[in-house]
Amino acid sequence: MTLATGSSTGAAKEGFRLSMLVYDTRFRAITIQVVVLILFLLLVGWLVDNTIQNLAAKDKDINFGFLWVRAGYDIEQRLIPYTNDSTHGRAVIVGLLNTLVVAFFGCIFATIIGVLAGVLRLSKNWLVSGLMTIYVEGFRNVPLLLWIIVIFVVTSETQPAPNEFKVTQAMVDSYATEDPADDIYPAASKLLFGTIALTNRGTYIATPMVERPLGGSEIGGVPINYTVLAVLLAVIGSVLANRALLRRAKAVQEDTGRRPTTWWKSLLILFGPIIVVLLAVGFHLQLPAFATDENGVSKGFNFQGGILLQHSFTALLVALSLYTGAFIAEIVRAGILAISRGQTEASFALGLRPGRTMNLIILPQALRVIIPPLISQYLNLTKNTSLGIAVSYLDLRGTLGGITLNQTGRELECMLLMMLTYLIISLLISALMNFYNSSVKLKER
Amino acid sequence: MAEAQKMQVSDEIAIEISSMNKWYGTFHVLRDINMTVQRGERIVICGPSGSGKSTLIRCINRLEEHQSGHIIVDGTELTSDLKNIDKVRSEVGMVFQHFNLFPHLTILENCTLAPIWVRKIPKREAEETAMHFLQKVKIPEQANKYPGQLSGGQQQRVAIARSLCMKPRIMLFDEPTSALDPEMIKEVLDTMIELAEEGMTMLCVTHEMGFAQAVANRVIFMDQGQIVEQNEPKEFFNNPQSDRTKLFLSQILGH
Amino acid sequence: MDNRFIRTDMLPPLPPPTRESGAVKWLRENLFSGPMNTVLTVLGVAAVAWAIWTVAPWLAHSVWSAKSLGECRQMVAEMGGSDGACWAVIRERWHQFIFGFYPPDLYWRPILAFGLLFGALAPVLYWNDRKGAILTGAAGALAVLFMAAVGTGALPMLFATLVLAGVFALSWLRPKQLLWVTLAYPFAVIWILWGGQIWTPLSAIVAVALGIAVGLLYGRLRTPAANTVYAIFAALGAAIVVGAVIHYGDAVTADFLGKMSGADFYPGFGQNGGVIAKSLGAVVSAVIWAISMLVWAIVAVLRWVNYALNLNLSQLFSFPYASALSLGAVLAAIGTFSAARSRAAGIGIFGGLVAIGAYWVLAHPSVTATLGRALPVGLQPVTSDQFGGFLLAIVIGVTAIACSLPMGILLALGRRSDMFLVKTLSVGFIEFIRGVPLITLLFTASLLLAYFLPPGTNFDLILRVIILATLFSAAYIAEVIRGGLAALPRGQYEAADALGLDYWQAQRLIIMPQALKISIPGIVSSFIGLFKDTTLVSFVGLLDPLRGVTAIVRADINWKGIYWEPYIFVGVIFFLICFGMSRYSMYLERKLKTDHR
Repeated sequence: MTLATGSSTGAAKEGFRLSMLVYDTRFRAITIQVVVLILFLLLVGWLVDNTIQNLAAKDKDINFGFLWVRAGYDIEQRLIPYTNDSTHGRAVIVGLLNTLVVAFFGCIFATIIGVLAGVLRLSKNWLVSGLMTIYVEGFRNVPLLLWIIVIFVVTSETQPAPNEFKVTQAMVDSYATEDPADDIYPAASKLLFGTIALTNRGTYIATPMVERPLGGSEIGGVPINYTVLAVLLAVIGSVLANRALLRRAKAVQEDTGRRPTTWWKSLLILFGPIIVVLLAVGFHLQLPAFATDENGVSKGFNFQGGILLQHSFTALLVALSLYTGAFIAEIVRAGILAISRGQTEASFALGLRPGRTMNLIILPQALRVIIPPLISQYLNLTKNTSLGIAVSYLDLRGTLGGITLNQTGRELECMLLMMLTYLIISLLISALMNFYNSSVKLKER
Repeated sequence: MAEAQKMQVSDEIAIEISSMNKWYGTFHVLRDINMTVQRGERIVICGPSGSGKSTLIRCINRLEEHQSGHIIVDGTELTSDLKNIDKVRSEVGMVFQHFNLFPHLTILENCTLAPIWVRKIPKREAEETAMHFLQKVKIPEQANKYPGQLSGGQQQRVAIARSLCMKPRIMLFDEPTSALDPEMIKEVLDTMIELAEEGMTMLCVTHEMGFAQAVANRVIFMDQGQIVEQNEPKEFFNNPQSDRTKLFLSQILGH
Repeated sequence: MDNRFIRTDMLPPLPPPTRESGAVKWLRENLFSGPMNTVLTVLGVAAVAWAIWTVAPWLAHSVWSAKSLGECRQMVAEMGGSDGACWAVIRERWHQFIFGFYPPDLYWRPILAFGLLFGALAPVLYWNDRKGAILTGAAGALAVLFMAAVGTGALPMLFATLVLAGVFALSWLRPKQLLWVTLAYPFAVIWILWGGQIWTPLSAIVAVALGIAVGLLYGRLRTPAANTVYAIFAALGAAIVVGAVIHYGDAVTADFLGKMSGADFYPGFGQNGGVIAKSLGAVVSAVIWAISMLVWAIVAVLRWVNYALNLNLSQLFSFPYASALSLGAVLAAIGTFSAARSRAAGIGIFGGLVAIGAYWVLAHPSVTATLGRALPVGLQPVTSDQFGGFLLAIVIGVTAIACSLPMGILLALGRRSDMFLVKTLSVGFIEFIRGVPLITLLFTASLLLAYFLPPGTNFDLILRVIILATLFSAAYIAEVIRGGLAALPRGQYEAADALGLDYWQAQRLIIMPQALKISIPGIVSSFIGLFKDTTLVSFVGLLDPLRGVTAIVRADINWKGIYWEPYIFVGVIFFLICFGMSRYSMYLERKLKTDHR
């Protein structure tokens, strides 16, 4: 506050009195904040002081050195190389990646499920909307933990052991005879053209393989695979090219009033290059299967090839996707319903067809309503990955807040680091949301 | 109109504003306002939208803070001292454009709330006063309804009664009729005219020029945050001096 | 052409033309209105058929009474089914799912507490009418029935029935007075559930009543003399509080500064790693060091202020308690006195709090001890580790939501405040809590709380979990209430200001009643969320219904290998409670939308 304004409001003339600390609007806020600050600092000081005393009593210190000590435990699911000789720090990173991978795929699947269920729930079809209501209410009103545990228990206790997929000599012999009636089949069979095998050890899925890999190199310890890079480039290139095509179409429409047909060009641009690249590198799927001898009799005790997904991962992913999907369905439904009838009517009155109305009027507005709560659901999903504890999934909580914590006994450091990591992930997602919100905010007075 | 001139205006000063300025951020909304209101005066403030007229009367009970100059209401200067602010607010009644009745309270509770909590009047006494004023604005039968069940005109009359229940010495009206349907404007204006005839000091931001001619003893025209012209209503309407006033009057009375 | 027209008689209303109707039309409109819809219908029918095909035989061969899973399977086989549901496990173990290891002969106590809950909730949920009374009565009657069903003794039965009947009578005759039940409920329920001497909760009620009486008396007594008396007591209270704060702050800051300079605070990062780890570690260490220095500087300033305010006046005067009389205490006393003499706001509340504190410190221990010796009336104590199942979930959920409501209101107001520091602290707290998973907070309760509290403090795990769950839900409730506050038009604040109401009066009389009403659906859904999340307490060793109790049941040799039945049982109960509440909140939303509008 400047001197001039201070003197002209008259209060300054009276000089300072003690009661002005409380009754003068200029000082009142400062007084309150000083009191709050002192109380807050006392609280912090009290907590820190207690912590120091407690640490001293247990003869401990605050030391993050354990992160560079040999971990000595195995993690079955790892996205980067890791053995039990690696450090705790590396175990933490493996755990963090496991958290992120569940969160990433969970968000994708939950969105697909949620959008489908949300739209279907609005359908006029009585049966379908009823089924979707049952799905949504069923999942929303039962704890997520129950779904995780049920899916885990059911998959790991009811699925067949790998050797039930085996083809024995007796079976081969039975196929050899002409009579199909006496054929014997393995007790269990794979799903989806042999690409997926559900067993009590985990789920085996086909591995994507290439015949002619493009090689790779390493920059600063991070391996780079040229094949993956080529595929990524092809995808990004096609998306960009498609955008250019649509922009051109729009420009033509604005110039001439006629929109050129684009759908087949879009399809070609979007899928052509990636198919070419995949064909060029000889892409194929390696199916999970037993090694066989010349007669087709299975050898060994387990599948050769294929990626093994742990049940903990599958259960967590499926439960998170279905649970969050139910919430997203509600958000999508509410978002579409929130666009007032008036908007649709106005659009119809202007002569726009229902499809155009959806694309140009309803969706842009509905997205503005849908996206913020959608992102907060992503946030919830990410935090809920920590429930992997129920099925011993070794995510960030399982490594840093679980085995590492128990082995090293450094509760304070591990918990602080873990909370900080979760907080950073959450804040990043929130920042994304705020960025989006400010970019689509309606321009209003 | 002859009636209006008969109303008493005393020499006692109710509001004194001297060289008052206000900014919103860097925007200078009120520029060097000087005005004096005598007790019993009825002043109509008009002007184009965004001219600062609402801000001016909102400064008088400190809903907005002025940054320089003096505002003295009933002998109490509005400073940052909370006690002065409380004193002024309990002496000055205000009626808003959108009524701002409390929707969770009945009409009667709306009227008795402030007398009970601010003036510390016993509940029964407050209810008697409230019924008296509700009778005066001609809606005693609605006392136990909720604001949402009333029409706009009725709500605005309740809002006037609510202010009157605090027995204010000055009443401020911030565009009291501009959110109302035409047939409801009259019932509110009638109430205000009646109030004026009883000698209440009134400051009214309004575009109702008929009201101005009927009861005001001064009309103030504001534009771009300053007082451009003020005069007796007859003179103001028949013989405006400044070009801005002429333009404004031609726009507002032109059709 | 003559286009004049004058209607002489008005047309009467006619019934609409009859349309085609019946089952065929319904089917065509709802299920087969287009190719897309037909496909969806066929898929839907297939899904339903498959579900029935799978589940029906299993349900058809249900076994309701057996002693073990083996016996169950045998009976299923005798019925001729290959697979059947074994509900016998629920019949055998339902009490553990509901009550955990609560002593069976005391089951009436949780049931009584639950029956009273509705009476206590009535004023909060705007049930001030006959419908609310009927609900309260129905809950009470149901509770009595349950108590009879679990085999309650005659004396407890009589006691519980009388209490429930009393609450029902109150809600029928004087619904406004139910607020007293709400106020007494927390004390009563703690005593009913955990047992012990009755004098402790009674003494606590006396303390609170004393505080309220002192506060209200201040509002009633408007004579200057009474005002002065209150001002003197408030000033004394302020002096004691500030004196204690200064002395304590002095001790803590001195200790803290000593530890900070002594302890090695920033080692560790990257010391054993490679080059990148080491350099990264150096950066992290530097950041931590900088933050430590900032904290150190603030603490040092605080210590200096404490020192300045602590200039002991006992050097000037010599009388008892002089050592507590520091400069800061004198300043606080003078400030409070001058403030209290001229204005009423807050002094009543402060006086009430001082009265509660004084009673609690000076009288409470001796009162309870004396009365306990003279007249030992009480209930058999139950320890926390006997709690489990849905009883535990409901205790944690209801307590945490109830406690988090006032905290959430304060946080929401803080977040909307103009004061930078208050706002920053509120936002920081809310965002921190919302940014970390609940499970980490529960681990904090079980692992870290022991570090943060004074050495030797060790209290009940349920209480620790409730504290953290309260903090957790307070952050979410704060956001809900913030939404309610934002939905109120500015005009409401302005009208309150223009009428001369002060900040707290405006909040209490105008803003909060409306904002809370708008927020009720949001509060109910945070409660649903929290209630579902109470299952996570199993990870810190408490017996939640889902994982804790089920794990015990499944570990039993008789029931090993059972999974569908207990999970379905627990899931259905959760579903019924949560679905019921969400429907109720939707009903409230609709009702509030049309209410008074």
